[in-house]
Amino acid sequence: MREADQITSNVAMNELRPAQTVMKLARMGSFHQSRLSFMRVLLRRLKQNGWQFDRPVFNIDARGIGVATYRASGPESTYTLVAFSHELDSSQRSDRVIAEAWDATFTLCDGEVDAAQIERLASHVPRQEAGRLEQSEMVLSRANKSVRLFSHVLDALTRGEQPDPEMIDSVGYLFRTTAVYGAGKFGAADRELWADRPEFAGSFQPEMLAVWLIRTFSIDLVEHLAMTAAPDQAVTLDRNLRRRFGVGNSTGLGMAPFLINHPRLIHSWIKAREVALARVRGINHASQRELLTFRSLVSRARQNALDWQVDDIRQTEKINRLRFDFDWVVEQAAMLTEHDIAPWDRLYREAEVQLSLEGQEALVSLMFEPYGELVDDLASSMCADEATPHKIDGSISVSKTLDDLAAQYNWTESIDFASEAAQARVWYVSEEKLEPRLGERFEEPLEPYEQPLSPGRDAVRMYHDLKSFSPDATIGEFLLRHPEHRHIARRLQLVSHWPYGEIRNNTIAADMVPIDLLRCKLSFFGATKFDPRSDRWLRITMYQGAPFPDELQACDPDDMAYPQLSNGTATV
Amino acid sequence: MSWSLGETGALAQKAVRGSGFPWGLAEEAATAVTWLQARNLPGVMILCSYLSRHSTIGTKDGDSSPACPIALGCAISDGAVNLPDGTGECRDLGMVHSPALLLGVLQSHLDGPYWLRARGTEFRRLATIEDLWDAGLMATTVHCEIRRDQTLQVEKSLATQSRVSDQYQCCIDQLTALAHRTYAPATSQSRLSGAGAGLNDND
Repeated sequence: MREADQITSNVAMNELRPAQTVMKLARMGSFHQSRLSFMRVLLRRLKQNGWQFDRPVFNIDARGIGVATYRASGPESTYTLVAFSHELDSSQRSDRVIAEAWDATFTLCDGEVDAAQIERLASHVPRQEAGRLEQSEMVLSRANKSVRLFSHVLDALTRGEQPDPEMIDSVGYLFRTTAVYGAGKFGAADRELWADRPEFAGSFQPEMLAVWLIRTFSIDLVEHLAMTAAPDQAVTLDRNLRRRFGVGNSTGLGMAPFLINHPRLIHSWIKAREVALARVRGINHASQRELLTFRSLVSRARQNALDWQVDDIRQTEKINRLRFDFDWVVEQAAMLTEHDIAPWDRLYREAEVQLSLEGQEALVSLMFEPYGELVDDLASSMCADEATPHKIDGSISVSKTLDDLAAQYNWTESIDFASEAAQARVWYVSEEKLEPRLGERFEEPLEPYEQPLSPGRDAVRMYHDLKSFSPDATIGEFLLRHPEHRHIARRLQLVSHWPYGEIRNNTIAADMVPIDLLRCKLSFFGATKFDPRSDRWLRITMYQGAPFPDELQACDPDDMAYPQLSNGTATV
Repeated sequence: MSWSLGETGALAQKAVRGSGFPWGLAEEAATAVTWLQARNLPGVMILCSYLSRHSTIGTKDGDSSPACPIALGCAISDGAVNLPDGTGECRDLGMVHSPALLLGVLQSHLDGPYWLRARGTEFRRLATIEDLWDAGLMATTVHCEIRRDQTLQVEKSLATQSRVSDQYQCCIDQLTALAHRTYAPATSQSRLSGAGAGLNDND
């Protein structure tokens, strides 16, 4: 345990980076995975509590069609992933929401599954959004193959050879999920029904469990097909090579509204991260061991940045600058000693001056690494009771509401919402499989379908109506006259209590980059290798380098986020 | 088949918005519906009934028209309409459409023990749909009164339901149709604005 005198004080709100600094899209779009990322939290917990895994069913034929189940058994609960593997014509292979068929479809079930349940699921899960789940199911997902890597690996294993590591690294996965639905969607169990289970404390833990088991299925499938094709010749994947496979994920605009629609939850995520940063910055002296761990991981993170290749010009520029930033971090890390006073605070303050946002946020995540005992407990706080409605306090005066608006939305002062550029975009949902989209307000007749995803503009609209209302009146009286402001009035009260719940940028501006929203959320999942494919969707890799279920007890799941160096350097 | 409360609330919100209400009121109505359904009271049916009539009755226009249960419930919850202070005191709320929906909006927000009834009936504890009928709260439009009591009109222990059963299929279908009004028509230009448009995923 850490010595008490190494921590200068308990963390108070005024020691945290303010929401006005953190909740900018440019910074949020530069976040990196950390010890608090949900994948890492899940694997730590599964290992700590001795979870066991097996594969009760594997009925997959020589063409790769069939069903398999993966069971996770813990101290109090059991969960089962049911995986359906399909034959898919290449003309149907699409990562978009509007797709209607996939290479594989999945559901994570609460408890054991029997033949009858599998039979029921077989008529629903392959249809995804068109099917229905029951309360015994928790997650619905689907995945498409990386055709070229799957074919390459299958060919190699069938010949009795191992696949090319460079080819593996260039893609990173056999399957990429194109949606992972949970929490009450399409009939699945509501979050409130399982939120108090210790294994799921925090956020998105069932979804993370499902994706981790999907990764195992992708390996089992390709090995099974090789063995079936050439039983006397085929080999399985080398264990170290196997760990290079993660699960890909294509993420589009559906994830962006989530960050705006869940202010209490997002506040809990960001605040946990900021408290962790403040705790580490509050350390008086770093031990030799902690410094060694930091230096080792900085080197590995730098290697990660060197390996990070994307086609996107904006992200390429950010990565180039990040590599430059890492040179500085490596240099600074080498100079840190155990005699330095408040070394992390000093390093961070200097980084604010020296580094890009991408570099600053990479450093923040790295600073957590040596301090699991100081940081990891925050993971359980990364959740919110969103089922209990937030009641508007109608007794607050109009003048106080104006003050609150000024405090939370002062960033709108520089925006002229009368200009076309400031309100160029419209968030809407298409009737085509309810795909969330972002349209051009002045080019298409979309405004009647606009979703309430522009808090800045809505706050300014309410401000103008409030200014012409009696300052002594209550907000309740105001809303009786102006029910059109009820949504933003509630939001204002929410973000006044939970300030990290609001993004401090115009989310309908012509120059807004939606993938910044996506990346923020994905970093909390624990994703790496962000690969923007346009301004509105990206691909990522999850669990690359992580242990598989059959090796979890023998591995350190936290030693997975950064690649091993060729000289064998690993976490101390 | 059954529906989760979460997806039912999301559907209700879109249906109310699709019926022309502001998003903020749609959120309150959705909360009311899930609150009622969690207590095995027919929130989905009550909302469906109100929205099916809303297009013809419109919103309240002047003091003489019956009140919208969502708007009135919000106004009471916000303190813009005074509640009785003392135990046993009663307040006239006037004519209200779909009073059971008003019950849901009020009860999901009010901390105090307030009881609702249709004028001419008894204030009664509510546990079943039959109780709602007996209290006159399943009427399409009725004169309502609210009273401060010492106990809750709907006991907390009744919140045991986590699903909406298939007996509400018809109402779910109607709400789905109303929710559809919030979706933009499919056009080729719209299709191109979706994430991943125009790209080959056979990689």
